Amino acid sequence: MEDIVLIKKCLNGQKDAFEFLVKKYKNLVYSIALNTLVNKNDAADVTQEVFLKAWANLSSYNPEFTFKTWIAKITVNHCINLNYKSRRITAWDDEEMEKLTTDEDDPEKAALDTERRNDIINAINSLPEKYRIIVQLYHQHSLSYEEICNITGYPMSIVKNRLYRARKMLAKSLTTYSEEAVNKGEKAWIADEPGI
Amino acid sequence: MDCRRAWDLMMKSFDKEISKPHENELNTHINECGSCKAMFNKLTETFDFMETSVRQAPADIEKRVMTKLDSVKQKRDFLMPYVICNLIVFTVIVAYWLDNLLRIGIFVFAKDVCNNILAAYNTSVTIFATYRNFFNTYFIRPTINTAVIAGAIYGFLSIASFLQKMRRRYVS
Repeated sequence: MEDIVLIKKCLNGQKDAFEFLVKKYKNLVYSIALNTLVNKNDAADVTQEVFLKAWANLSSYNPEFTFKTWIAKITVNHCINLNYKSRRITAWDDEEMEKLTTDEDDPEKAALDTERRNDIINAINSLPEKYRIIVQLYHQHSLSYEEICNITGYPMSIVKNRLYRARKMLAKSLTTYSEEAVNKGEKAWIADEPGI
Repeated sequence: MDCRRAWDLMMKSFDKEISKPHENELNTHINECGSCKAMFNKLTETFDFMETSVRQAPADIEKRVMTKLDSVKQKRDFLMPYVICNLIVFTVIVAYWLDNLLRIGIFVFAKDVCNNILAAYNTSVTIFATYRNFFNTYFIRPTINTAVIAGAIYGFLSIASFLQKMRRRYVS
């Protein structure tokens, strides 16, 4: 069933329609909460709070935007307001990484996969928060530039710049260049430059 | 093509906005340049990993939310324009009706006080005077009739604005 139909039902007081929306978007809300600001235990609480907030404010939902964008915006704002920054551990913890190891038949390959994933996760975790949010919204949650602008409230130029710089930082931390190439200036452009 | 240009094309590729000729150009460079190839593969791997690793929310989230839903009241937009519009219409009608019934002269008083809305007032007085004369001429109890007609107008406006509100909410 389409989101807008479910929302209309919710506005008519049909609570079971809201359950479908929760089911559909709980992973999105939980992921954003977990990735942006909070640790795993808080993320579940934040997910619950975000959906209750959405329910309370459903009459102010503007159908011009998708429900996905709207709920993501509430989540990002909620996390920022909570200021859980200091309590954040990492975007991916060891338990999560264990779950992500797929090839159980081949332990050697699985170990290699885990190592590679480790590198990737460390690179993502090492990004400054303002870049990590953008890169995760774009690449993890497949949101468009426009949707990210609506969620974060940043203008398009800032969103594009941050994503560009985030990718550059990831490239820098994931790839090691030969000293020779860097000295020759072939990869000098990959070095940090002032960003927004 | 230099590595800088290849990087820009990689960005376009990750944005899924790369054209076929540019894609071919990028592939040619990647096949020739080991470090760019490594970087492109690593970033592709990273973004693929991110796409497939959306974390699963705890299974009891729906239950937790639905349990608490009863304690959360949905906010209603009481200051919707239709409410304000109705209040204004209702106030004016009641004021006119009382003025007509009790001969208080509210409108005359308003005229003295609010010179700045004199023009609007004159227009309304003219309309109401015409309206009252019409009933004075054709009906025996103009005051009651005024109230009835005013109520009918109010009712009509209420229904119209309610329908408009419903249209706004449900016709996206």
